[in-house]
Amino acid sequence: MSDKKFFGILIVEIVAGIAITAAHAAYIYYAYTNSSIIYFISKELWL
Amino acid sequence: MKKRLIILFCAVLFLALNIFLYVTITRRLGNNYSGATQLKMVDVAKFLPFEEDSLLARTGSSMHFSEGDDLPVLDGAAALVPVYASVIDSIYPEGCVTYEGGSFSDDNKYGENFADDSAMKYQNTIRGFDAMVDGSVDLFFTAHPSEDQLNSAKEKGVELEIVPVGLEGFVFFVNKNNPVDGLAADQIRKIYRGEITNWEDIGGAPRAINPLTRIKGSGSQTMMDKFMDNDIHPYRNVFSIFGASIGYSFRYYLSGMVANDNVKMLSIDGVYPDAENIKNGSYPLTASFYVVYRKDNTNENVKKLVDWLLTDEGQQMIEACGYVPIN
Repeated sequence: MSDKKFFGILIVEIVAGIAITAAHAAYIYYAYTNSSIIYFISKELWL
Repeated sequence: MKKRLIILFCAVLFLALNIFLYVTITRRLGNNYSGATQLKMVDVAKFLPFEEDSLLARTGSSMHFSEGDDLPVLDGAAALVPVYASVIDSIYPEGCVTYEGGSFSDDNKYGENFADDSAMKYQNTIRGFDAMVDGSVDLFFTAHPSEDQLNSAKEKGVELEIVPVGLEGFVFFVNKNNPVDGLAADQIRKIYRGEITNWEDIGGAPRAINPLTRIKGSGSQTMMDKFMDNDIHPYRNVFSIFGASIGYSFRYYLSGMVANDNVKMLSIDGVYPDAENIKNGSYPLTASFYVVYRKDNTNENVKKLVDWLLTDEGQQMIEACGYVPIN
């Protein structure tokens, strides 16, 4: 794989990854402030 | 080969990050449309008057309204739906409640599903209180109204009668797997003032405390503000969301209506919030709940209904609903 192709793929991958994670975080922010606290606590992870 | 590995590693990294967020937070969200309500978990259809299978207290009444009477329109907080639905079931004539079966959606965030001419409404604390002040609701069942709500009524020139009719416990709760079973009231105040930030400091697991709050104006938040003397500023660290949470609500709403087996109520100062401890006054966070109506309401049946709620019959019904009588 050429360096040009490698960096091209890597940049696209990072941009897509950041965009998806940012959208996920934005959804969390919205839903967290609007969700039921009882449901939120009931689903807490305890290992 | 090395370049392919870097590309693969990068993809796995983002995937792992999003899976982690989903498992720890995203899957725990939802089930509601608004912080002002928890209505989606309260299926009003289970509490409809005159329906055979409704979960209502049917203790009977010697007072009855008939079709020709001016029937007071009742509304209230989600936690008190069983109480005012039972009042209608016991006293009102059949056919005065028109449930339209609306379901929760983006266009109907509060699950409004009663016809305009129905004697029963279900708008919850914030909007229901406003409806009572504006006159479209006669009698509102609620925890004590907040300062803002009282000021709002005052600004509109509306004087209110606020009559205590029952007792309820204000409770704190955690996940059932949290090893902490009880806290002192002062420890809770310290948690919500950011002075205690880890469960380990109060005999629990080494996890950050995530102190959850409710929206201003809701019944439980008004009670919390009172408990905290309006001095509430929980420690806000973005990572505390991954810790173990604590929240608050009213006892019957949590244990009777929502009845989620994966949360547990905490003892406060060593006293568990069961009906007996609320009734005998040993549980320290006991609050009255009220009926509120406009002083200038000319419907004489409003006062009759309030008086009935304070009779033995009314108090018996409140107890049968799962609450604690005030008399």
